[in-house]
Amino acid sequence: MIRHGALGQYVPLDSPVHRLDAAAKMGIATAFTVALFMAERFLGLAVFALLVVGAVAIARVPARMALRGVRTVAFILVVTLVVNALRWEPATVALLRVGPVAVDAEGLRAGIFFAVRIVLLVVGTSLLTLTTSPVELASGIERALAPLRLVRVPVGDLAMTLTIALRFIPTTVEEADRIVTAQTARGARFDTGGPVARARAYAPVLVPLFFNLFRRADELATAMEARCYRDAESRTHLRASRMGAADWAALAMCATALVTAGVLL
Amino acid sequence: MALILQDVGYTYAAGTALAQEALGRVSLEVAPGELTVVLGPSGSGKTTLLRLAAGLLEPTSGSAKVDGQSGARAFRGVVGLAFQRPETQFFDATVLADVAFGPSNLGLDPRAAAAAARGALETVGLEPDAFGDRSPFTLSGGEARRAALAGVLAMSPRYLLLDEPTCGLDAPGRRAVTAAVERARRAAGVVVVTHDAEEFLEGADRVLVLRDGRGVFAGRVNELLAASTRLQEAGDWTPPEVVRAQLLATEAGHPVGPSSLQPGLAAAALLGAPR
Repeated sequence: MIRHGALGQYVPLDSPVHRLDAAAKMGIATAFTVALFMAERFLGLAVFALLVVGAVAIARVPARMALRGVRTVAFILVVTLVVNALRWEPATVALLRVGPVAVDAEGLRAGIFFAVRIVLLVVGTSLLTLTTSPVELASGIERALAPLRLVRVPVGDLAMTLTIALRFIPTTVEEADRIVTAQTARGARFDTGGPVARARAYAPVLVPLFFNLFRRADELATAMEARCYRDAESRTHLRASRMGAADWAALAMCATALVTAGVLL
Repeated sequence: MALILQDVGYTYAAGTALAQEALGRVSLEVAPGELTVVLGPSGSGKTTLLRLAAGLLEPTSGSAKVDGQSGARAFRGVVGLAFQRPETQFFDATVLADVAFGPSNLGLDPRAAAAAARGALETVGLEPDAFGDRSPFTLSGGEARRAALAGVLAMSPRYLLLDEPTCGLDAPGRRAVTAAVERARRAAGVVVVTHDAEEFLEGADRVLVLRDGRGVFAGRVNELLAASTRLQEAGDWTPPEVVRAQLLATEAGHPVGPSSLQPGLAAAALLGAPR
């Protein structure tokens, strides 16, 4: 009953994008975000759109999964479009006028530009979670944050926390789904009334959900302790991830190309 | 060399208004290669006893020692505990990585940790090549229970503690788990907390029956069977069907010799009972 979002929905496939090291993919995603915000023309967005389509194709991720994240930001897209398109002062060439409010070509262009930029940002960065398992992602973040160890930041524990948090996103959704289904079976209605009534209907779901999550957290912590977990710094890793030559080359080339494209376009 | 709990007691939230005694003056002993079965109804303190035996809790009274040493450090990596709900223990991406979590925490290098994990999977009857790369969340109930057991065995503990290892499993799952426990027993002392007495009693060296946090019986299996009537009348223990049939025959005036847990021997004893 509760739909899964794109985050945490790793698609286990074998593709060049999947094989790239998580840290390299995080670097490329960062460069992509920076470059996307540097682009000021539609030509730039068109080039980035082609790059995103190409990356999705190389990753062999189904298009509907790559686009799933867009649905979750649909409201933001509409607000972005409307806020940019509307003018309160009389526009020189109004495309549409309703009382004191008008839509002009420049505003509409700006709205579409920003909305497209958001769509590209969501689809492009979703590729990171779609092609990287939560454990690899946490490992990548751990290595990216490694310098902080010098100032005694418990990077390993943070990464372990992140791994578990990412891992339990689908579990939490399933748990909530189970509770909603059980309450629906007992006559609860979640699909009627206005937004306030619907939000109120979900309140009885939150109590058992949090209760179960805390109990599960306690059980997991005790089980980890029973398997001798003390701190992440003193443990070894079964699959020690490391940036290879190919990862460094891919990161350097992609980051350079993306930032150059952002500056020129 | 033994894991010995001597007159241990444990009170949750001790010293506060919420203090609740879970266990009082209970003793337990297991040596490598031995199997001790702990029986008792829900809320009798079985799980608390296991946590004390694993060094996860410090007893509020009495002493807990492993191979003569006390303190949480002494138990680390020496005593392994498999919890009742394995699905709450998994968090890694693959079965192999999850099973290797313990060895990695003990500081084994990746190759040794992987070898330990593969060996443990084989011990519990899960082929490493077939199951190692699978997500632990896709396993069936019996497979998940065995993978959780492998996660503990991979640390090569000298003492293995199991909380309701066959609870909620179907017949093949129960058989697979009991076989895995029997194999694990070759290298470790095993303590099994269970409601399913039939599955583990027959091979047990010692039995402990708990009720309301107190030990109401401690002894050998034949002593337990001899005390079945008393324990049943006191509501401390409900013997397995096969024993109850023999007790009923005795009660009805057809005394059966020493009770047996084996259905074949029990049937022969019943047939031979004076009519």
